[in-house]
Amino acid sequence: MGPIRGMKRKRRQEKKAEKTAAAAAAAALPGELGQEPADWWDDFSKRITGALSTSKGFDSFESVFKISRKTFNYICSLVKEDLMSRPSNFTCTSGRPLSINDQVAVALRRLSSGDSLLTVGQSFGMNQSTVSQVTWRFVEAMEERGLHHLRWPNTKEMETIKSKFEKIRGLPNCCGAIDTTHIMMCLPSVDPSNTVWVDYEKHHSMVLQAIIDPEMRFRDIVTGWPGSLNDFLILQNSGFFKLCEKGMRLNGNKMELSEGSEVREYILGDSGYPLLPWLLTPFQGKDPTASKAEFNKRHLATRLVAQRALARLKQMWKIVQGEMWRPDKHRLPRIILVCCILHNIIIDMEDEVRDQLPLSHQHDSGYRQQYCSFSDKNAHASREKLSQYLFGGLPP
Amino acid sequence: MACPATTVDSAPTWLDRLRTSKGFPPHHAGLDLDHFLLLPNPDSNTSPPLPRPADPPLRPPQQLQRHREAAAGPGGEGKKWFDIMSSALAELFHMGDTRQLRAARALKKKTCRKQPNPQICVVSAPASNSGSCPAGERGASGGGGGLQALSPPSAENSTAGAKKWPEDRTKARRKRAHCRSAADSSDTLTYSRTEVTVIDTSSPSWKSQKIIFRKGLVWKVRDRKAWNVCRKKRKLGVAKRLASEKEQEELPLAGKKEALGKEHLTSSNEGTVPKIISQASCQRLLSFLSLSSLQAGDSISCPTSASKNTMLDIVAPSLYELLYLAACFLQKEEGKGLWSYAVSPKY
Repeated sequence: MGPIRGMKRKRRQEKKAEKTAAAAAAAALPGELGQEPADWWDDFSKRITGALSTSKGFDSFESVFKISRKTFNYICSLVKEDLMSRPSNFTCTSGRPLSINDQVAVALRRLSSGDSLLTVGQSFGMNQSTVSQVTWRFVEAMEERGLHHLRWPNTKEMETIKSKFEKIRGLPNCCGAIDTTHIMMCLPSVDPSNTVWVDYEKHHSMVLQAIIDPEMRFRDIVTGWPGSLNDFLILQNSGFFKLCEKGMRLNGNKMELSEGSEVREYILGDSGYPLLPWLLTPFQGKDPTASKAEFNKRHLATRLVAQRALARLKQMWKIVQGEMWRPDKHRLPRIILVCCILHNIIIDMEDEVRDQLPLSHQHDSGYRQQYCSFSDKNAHASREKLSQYLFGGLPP
Repeated sequence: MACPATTVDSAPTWLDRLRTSKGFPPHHAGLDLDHFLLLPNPDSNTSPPLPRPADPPLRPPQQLQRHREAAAGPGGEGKKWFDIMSSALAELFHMGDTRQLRAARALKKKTCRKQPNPQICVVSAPASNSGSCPAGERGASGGGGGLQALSPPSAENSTAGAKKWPEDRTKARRKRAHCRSAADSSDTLTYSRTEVTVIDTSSPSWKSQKIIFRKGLVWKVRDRKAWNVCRKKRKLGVAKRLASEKEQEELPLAGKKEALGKEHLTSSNEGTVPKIISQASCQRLLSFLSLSSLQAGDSISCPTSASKNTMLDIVAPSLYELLYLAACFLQKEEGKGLWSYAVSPKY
């Protein structure tokens, strides 16, 4: 069937009309970015209905969004251009068009509370499909605009990171801590194609591997792999592994421990990871020597930042904490990425809200510790050297 | 469809002409098909026709077959004629149950012209003009000379071949792509296939789509986007350049990975994967890898210890993993000659 005559013109006219309507709506909005932010919140908070409005303590901005107004405004400024570039006719159930602030608020609430689309929609007086679309547009905009908040540190930043790690428990030249967590999903077990998502604890999950700095900032993430892949395989398939093997990462200055003895840059990982020259894991086996036990103690205390960061991520952005109901497995990694970016933005903005959250290191409850027997000979030697250095200094 | 013999009237029709050309009496002579089938010597045109049944319906094939057997029984000549006739009739007429015919046609269609278990085709002579697939591939990618070898020797085709060179080339490429996809699908047929979107902030393209093939402990990871890019690049003629660049990049790395691999071979992260491998095996493996210029993404096919017919494929996403997996496999296959193993190119 051929195209209907005049369809292109008609479509063009429709698009033009949409654009004009969107521009008019944006101009008529009372809570636009140009105005006082307090006005927007005053107006928006009145629109909150249902359980959220009646709950005790939900009268302040921070209690609803778990971030400060300063951070919120920054996030709005990041995504404003992207959200404005595409004309949309998102409205409340009352027919009122959604402003940029409204859209960001809805998306942040969806990501931070982990509530269903229906619950979020009811709270803000909008359709659940609107919540879904607004959240997804926000995710798309954030991953493009906010990715600079999640990147590997430069040489100068790395020096700061090293010194901060050393301050924790004296581990010299340490550049990060690596850990893995599982984002649980609720998938139908009868579908044989879902078996690949079943992890070693028999849950359907997606894996998130992250390298964390001492301020609990995500510096490198890999996500999207199914739960049946173990930590080593995910690490092997990551860009970070390839760069390290090529000598293009963790290739900075070596630190001299004693005369003729030095240690290269490395990251810390738990026993589920292989022992590599650039990835140090704790000593395994029963009854370790005093120096090995000391090393393990310091090792654990230092890499606790990784566990805490992952725990905080799930605590703050509850969409990745619970068991997601049949999520789109192609969209979920992007949602995880945006949650990590938002986590980093809170740290970069020095948001005071983060101090109010309790520190926990339980991010993967119900998952037992995995053990990897793989080890590198050179790595053995450098770990031994480091443990001797930490225990009482290396022999001359 | 009704039998055409019944529709023919007095005017000479194509059937009559056919009969005449083959030396049979025309339809007007009062001879019908059954007469020919039942008659031991069809040349005896003078013989009177056999008594016909009152109302001859279309006979079922089984009955017809019995008649044929009866007719063919007495002598070799009759059998010969019967064979000729039956084949001619089978081509010309529709006799018997339509359902059976459909079933037969469907069966004919479904039979695959390809081998169920294709063997790896090794071409010894590079300039061979044989019509084998690899030679054809080389011809298509190489240029006009190779292409000529592919085309039939008829003059019509050779002139057309010069004109339609790009079209033929496209066709050959399509055919090659089809071959590759068929091989790919047959290779990964028994694997469970999962498409995933992977975010890796250390990769240049931090968002990529991968296809995971899994069968037990064997994993195959393919980059979905890279394949498309590869096709585009091949079209633009930069694939070769990129491949050579990649080789150059991997060459200095090989030495380092070799050293790493030696260490890695001694242990593993999986409980089921063998942990110990002999030094001799390592050496054999390393020499094998270097001599056969194995690349990342290649697959090693070799008979398993259980049965020589069962093939085990290992496809490695990276050189390191290839080394590691191959080492694990070699340990299982300790004592077997590595040189007999076939290496299929990356697809």
